[in-house]
Amino acid sequence: MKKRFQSLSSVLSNYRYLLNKLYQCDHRLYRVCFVMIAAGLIIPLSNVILPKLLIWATLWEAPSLAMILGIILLFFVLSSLCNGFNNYYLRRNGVYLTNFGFKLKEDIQEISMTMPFPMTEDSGVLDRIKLAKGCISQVQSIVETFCRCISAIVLLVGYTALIVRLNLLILPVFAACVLLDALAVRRMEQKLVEKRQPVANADRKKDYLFRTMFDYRFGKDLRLFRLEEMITEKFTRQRDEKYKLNREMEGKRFAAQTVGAVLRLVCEASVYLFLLAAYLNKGLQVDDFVLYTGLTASFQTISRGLTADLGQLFRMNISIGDYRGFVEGNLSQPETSASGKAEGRQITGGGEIRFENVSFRYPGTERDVLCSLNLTIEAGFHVSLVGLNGAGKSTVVKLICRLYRPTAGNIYLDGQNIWDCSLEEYRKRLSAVFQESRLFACSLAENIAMEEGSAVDDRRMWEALRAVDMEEKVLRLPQKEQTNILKYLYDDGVEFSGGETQRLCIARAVYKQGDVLLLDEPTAALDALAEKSIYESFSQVSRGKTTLFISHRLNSNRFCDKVVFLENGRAAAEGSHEQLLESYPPYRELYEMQAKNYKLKEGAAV
Amino acid sequence: MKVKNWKALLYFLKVVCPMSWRAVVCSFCSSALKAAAPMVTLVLSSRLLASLTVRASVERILLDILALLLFGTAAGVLQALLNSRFKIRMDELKDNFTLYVGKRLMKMQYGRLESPEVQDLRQQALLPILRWGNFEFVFQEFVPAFIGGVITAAATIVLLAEYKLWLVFPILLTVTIHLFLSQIQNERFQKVAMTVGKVERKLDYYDSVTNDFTLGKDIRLFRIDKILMNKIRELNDKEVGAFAGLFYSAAVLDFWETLLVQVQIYFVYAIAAVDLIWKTISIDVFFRFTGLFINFGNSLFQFMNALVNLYSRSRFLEKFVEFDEIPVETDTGRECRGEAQPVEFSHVSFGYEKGKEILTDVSFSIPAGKAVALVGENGSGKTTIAKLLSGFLTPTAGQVYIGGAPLFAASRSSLSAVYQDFQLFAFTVRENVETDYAGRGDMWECLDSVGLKEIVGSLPEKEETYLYKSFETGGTEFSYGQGQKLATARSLYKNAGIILLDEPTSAFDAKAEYEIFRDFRRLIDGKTALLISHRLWSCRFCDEILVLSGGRIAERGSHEELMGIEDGIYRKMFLAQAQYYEDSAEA
Repeated sequence: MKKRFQSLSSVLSNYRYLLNKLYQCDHRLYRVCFVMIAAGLIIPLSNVILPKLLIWATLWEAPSLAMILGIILLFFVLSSLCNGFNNYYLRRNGVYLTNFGFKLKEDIQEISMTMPFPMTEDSGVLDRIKLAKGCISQVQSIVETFCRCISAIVLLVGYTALIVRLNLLILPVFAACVLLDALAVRRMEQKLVEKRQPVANADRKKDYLFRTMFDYRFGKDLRLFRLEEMITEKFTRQRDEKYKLNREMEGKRFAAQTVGAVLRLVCEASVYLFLLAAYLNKGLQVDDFVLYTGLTASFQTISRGLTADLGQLFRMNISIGDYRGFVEGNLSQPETSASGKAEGRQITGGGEIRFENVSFRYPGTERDVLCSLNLTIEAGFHVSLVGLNGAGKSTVVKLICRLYRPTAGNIYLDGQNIWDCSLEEYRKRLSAVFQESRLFACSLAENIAMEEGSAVDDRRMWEALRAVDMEEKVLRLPQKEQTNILKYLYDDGVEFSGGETQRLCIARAVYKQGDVLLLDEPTAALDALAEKSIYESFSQVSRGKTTLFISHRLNSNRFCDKVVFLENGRAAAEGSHEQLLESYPPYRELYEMQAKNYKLKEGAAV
Repeated sequence: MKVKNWKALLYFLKVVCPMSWRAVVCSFCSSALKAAAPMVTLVLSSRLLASLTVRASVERILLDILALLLFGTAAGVLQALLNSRFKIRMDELKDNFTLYVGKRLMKMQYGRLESPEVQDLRQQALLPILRWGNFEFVFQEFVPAFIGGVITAAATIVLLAEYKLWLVFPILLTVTIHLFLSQIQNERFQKVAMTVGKVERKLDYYDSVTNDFTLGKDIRLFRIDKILMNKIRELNDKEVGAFAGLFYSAAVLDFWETLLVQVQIYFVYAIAAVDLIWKTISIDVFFRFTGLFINFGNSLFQFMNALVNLYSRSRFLEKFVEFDEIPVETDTGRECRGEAQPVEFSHVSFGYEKGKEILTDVSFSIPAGKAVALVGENGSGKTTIAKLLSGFLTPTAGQVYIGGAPLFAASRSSLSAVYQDFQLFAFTVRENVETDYAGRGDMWECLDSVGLKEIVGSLPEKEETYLYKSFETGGTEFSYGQGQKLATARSLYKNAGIILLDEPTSAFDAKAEYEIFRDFRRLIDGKTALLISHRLWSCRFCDEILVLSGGRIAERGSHEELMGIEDGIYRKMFLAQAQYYEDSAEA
């Protein structure tokens, strides 16, 4: 019992939330709802009253054609206006609701991009976003169903008042039937909710399997390893599973509907009995007979519609809950407002980064990735961070970027704890290029500056392009810096090669003019010549800046002031490249593995 | 509706219906009942009205009431039953159809699959049908409306034969006007749809960026969200603007159309009322006739609407026919050939479009059991050669030979590979390694040779653990590097005679990379191998090195031979990589 009431209040709260948002978005929506509710009241009523009036008119001694035609004309006007405006506003509503849907989606998108970084590595979050977006497509349906419910409830009350005039006993009969029907439906809905998770599972699996068939990126491996049969078999299994679930759910639905049909029979039969009695004994006229049967029939239709609509509203409430939960939950706290004093002291200085006894483990894991790491990157130094996969190199970068918080220890920038100042101010001092960095579908200038076209500082942009040796190439393009990137979206779009793309990403980092430069495996996908030119850009671009450089290839370490060898979450050794070669065997071993094969003197391989 | 639209629809139905005849039967019965029930109810209630007006006997009246009530309940229950059966069968039908489409996609030649034409068909036919509700439209709206319309029309004509049948014509007139107005609406929609389509593509793209968590670091560091949200808001406003203009004029049209329907209804009422007053018909006949005519009008409207809707969606159906006519590879081989075979490219040229050749007159051969390395700058055509060798593309000139025989789809059974853009599947580790060749080899040995034995051994369910969370939510995440190792294990497990490795160690760390290539000769022992790699030092393990430049083989030979070429491409690239290690050679 308690559970049901709890959910009822949460349903009301969710709908109040949604309607509030609707009103804030567009007041016109309320006007439209009003019209729809009014039409929903008048149209069924007029359909019931018209037959009665017509019959009544014919029962007169000398029925006049004029009166009948007059009645018909009156109802024609009434019906035309109601239906006409209803449809007119329904159509216009489509625009308002589309707009509203967009605004809802924008909220979700904005949160996806500003929520705390750890959420992006939590796969459950992606699911939640999908569920939240699911609400949007239902917004139009929700509003229309809601309006229908309101007019239905008002009508049912009115009908009951009218029908009861025939005989007061009808009231308890109707009330009992409506209540029992509602109970049956509610029970069915609850049972269906239990199936929600298994259905979602089956659907997710089917969707994934379909994606492997549909997305050509799986195509090569699928054909080479003959996975077609495996995928087909898994798909048919999910199809059968879904079929079973559907059968169970539809079975329950059918049971509830049969109960409803029987209850309706009881209602109608009771009304007809009373009508017959009144007709035989109390001189009820045919027109009133028809009126009461019409009212009953309309009552049944409307109450059936109402229970279905209420069920819909309860189901859609889950979607609203998904959306609201995502938007209002702690996910929606953008990082920029979270930690630290909002108006932080600005950290000024040369850009020295220091890790002091920093330990860190990823949420939900049992092993520390960094164990009491002590690391200093002196201002203006170029430091290379090396180590095997999983040693924690990328984690160090994420911690510097304040994407994650150390589980122990502190990180200092120019002597100040990086978590003690405003996030925005802190990140302004960082520039980075990651392995996954890429260009977006907007103009080249916007890609470099990450600002709208009008706000781009041209001088800075050209400087950045010059620093990465792309100035000439860009000048040669037909629209120069206004060229749109990505052929996929723009007919006149331009695609750059892998090496050029990375260089433009470096230009983006240069434009930002951060004092600290972080380079995380940016050349992994490039060929030898492209990589070489990027290294040359690096040395140009990082001149005078504190730079942290991560790469598998150790060949660049010669240009760094310091090399730090990360092992088991600690800085196992540090020093210049030559020093480490001499004094730290694991480093030498790693280096030799790569260098050996480039020896020019001896031609033999390993 | 043109003939070709009907042909496309019939083709579609012919393909889909055999997949579940039960769904077809359900659909038919459900629509028939839905059409017939209101008419029967009308007839029965008019009989009751008749009994009342002529003051028939109580038994007679009771009988009429009983008939009406029982029919109503029985029809209601039967309708509910048919609906639930229909829904179940419909889901099953759609799943079967999805599988049908999926299988065709899986069997198509890969080159066709990644071609722009097929990608376009995906957007214009497959997605609309499977994801945008067009499948449901055909079977849940159009077919019922069609069947309902036919049954209602037939029944109405039979029932009203003795009355003013000519009233059918004004109804047909209003419906025709409605059809005409709908056409105008649709054309306006189509025009707007073109512009909106472009906007939506951009919005979809931006949306996928907001969802792409691999960009999470960049987005937060560069505050990319600001410019993206600006663009998204701009585009949203543009789309709403485009719709607004359209929908507002459509609303006005809707208003007049509704009026048209009301005119039709009340016209029928008026005509019948005249007869009622002049006592040519009784009141029950009045209601029966007006009811049936109005029902007929409604059914006709629904039918016309469905027809108009179908016409506007028929483009998807036509595109589906195009899709279905793409040939599929039928013979894809079964037996995996483990013995090494020679590979030969003979004067092979390839280009996706005429005049834009990626490869020109490429000839080389790999003797059985030997290893050849392929190097060159990005974009020089290396990946294309990989695809040609795999039979994914067909040369525009020349021929590829495997074991002396021309390459065709079944030859793929002799080939194993790790592609540069390899994909793993969200199934168990074991399924990923063994794939379709379960039993051919030792999975643990393969895992060990790529350094994954310990990691897999430490997983909660070891090799039965699921990869990623897309299929089973409890799956485990593998890093890109680990994934690459797994893909390598997979290719080793197949134990085919020819192995192709395209940048197989791009994500490996130095140690792992070193170990893989140290064991390289052992791993590919006895197999014919083609290695594509940026790490030029790894090419020294091969018997011959081919240098691809501008779509042609510019240089070929052993490492020493190539280094001996003055100003050679290979020499330049090798020195570029080596220069930073050079002094260690002296150290």
